[in-house]
Amino acid sequence: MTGDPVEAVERALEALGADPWNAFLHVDAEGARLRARDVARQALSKAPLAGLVVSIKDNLARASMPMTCGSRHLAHYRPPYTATCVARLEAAGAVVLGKTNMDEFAAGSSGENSAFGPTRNPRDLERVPGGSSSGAGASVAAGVVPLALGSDTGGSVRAPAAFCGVAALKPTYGLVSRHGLGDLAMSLEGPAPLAADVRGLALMLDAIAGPDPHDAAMARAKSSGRGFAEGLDEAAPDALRVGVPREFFEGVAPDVARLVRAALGRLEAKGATLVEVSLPSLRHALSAYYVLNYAELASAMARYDGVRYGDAEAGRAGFGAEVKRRILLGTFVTSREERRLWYEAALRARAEVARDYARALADVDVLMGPTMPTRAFRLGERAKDPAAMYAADVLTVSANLAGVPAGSVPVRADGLPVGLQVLGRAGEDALVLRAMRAVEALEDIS
Amino acid sequence: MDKFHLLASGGMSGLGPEDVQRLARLARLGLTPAESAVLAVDLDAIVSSFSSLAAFAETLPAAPERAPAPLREDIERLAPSEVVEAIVRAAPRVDASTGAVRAKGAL
Repeated sequence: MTGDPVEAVERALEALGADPWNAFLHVDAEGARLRARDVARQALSKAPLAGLVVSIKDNLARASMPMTCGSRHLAHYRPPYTATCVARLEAAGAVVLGKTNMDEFAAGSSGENSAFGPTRNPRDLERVPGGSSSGAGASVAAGVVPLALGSDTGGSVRAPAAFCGVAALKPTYGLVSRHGLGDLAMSLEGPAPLAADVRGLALMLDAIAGPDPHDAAMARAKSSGRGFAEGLDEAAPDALRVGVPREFFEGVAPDVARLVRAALGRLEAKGATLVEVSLPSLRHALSAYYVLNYAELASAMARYDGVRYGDAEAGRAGFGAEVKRRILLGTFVTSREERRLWYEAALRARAEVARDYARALADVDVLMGPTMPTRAFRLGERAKDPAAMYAADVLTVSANLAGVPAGSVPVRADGLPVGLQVLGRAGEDALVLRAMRAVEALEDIS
Repeated sequence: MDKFHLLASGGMSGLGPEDVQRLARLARLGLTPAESAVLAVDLDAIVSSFSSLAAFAETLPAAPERAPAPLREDIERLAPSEVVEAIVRAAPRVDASTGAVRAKGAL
């Protein structure tokens, strides 16, 4: 038991106030109070997440709550079932406060593409919180909830974590069930936790990871899906061999590079071994990622036709500009004449990215580098330049192409937060979390 | 010079408003002419910025481990009569004398 759930819900509602960050699209205050009383009364009070309040990204189904995916197209949709990962969080004693804001259908890097208005960064209200799990990152950074469940397609929890100064982990593809996730790009994405600290991530992963017959991709996961919190503090820095890909620092803002290198220096001073490695295909990862993202999104969006799902009156013309761009580009890159040049080329590049990761990780435990190439930028700064917006994802998308675990942990920084990214071999999420904890312990910034 | 070589040599994609309108029709996405014009500029810039991808893929030593799954447009549409036959084949059978429904294959 980590605290009184009823008091925890009241504290969360007080911290949320009028939600100046536009972090939530739906708050279920009465439902949360009822649920907290249930948790306190029942055997759940001894459950691992009892007393912890959690926010859920609005592309994850929770029966009885709306699910908009940040789109007006789904403004009136209520799912008839609960996503596996959400049900597992609740079974572990967590209380869901509500659904968080996000870029429409997770198509965005800044949190500005929601049909319900942009999310604002709690560290600076004039800046973006990062996306697409923008409300999830803001809800933790603002101190409303200690835990948030988002999803990561190409950096969608790591960007908000880096920009808002919290921790996040994109698990190995297939470790957490996608059942109940409104999908954008099914081969790249999955539910992913954000938390105030690394221990929170591990506790959440213990609750949500593991096989689910509703998700065929689970068979690919190698991890057993348990024991992430156990042994978290056993990560002695002097036992860590850290690969530092030189490409992770190319084109990165000098102040971000300096702060991440300083953190790596502190880790080395504590006994970690740093080894320079290379991921040559990283230069092509962004284009390969986006081509595949477009192709998969265009296919996924076909169901939102106003008959099966969506608002028939608004029609497909009601999608936001970024979703339209991606549908058009997905149609383009998979068209008969263009498929070889784009879609098939991206598949080949993706395979090379995975091979590069295997080579780079052959003699080290984890890889480390910056999470984002810059600190949080100003709202509207890149809104009219999609290519510049995509460039924000340059350091995060390769983990999704390769299906490997990747987390972001804040490092000591003056002013706006900076995230350090930790990546590992597929199935070694526990090792990634331990390495993140080792960085967190050194940084002492909380 | 085909589009690939044009892109590989650093040229622009050549995607214009008419291409965008054609893509929008394929995707059943209603666009106004003004939207098409703006999106054409965006798409041209994005596609051009990804122009080195195909050239990079050509340098890779191995083909993809698995061929990509057939795309929606490659799947032949069934003729209406074939659809009806498929539904009838899959449907449970009814005993006309009693009205009892038997599972497929139980007759």
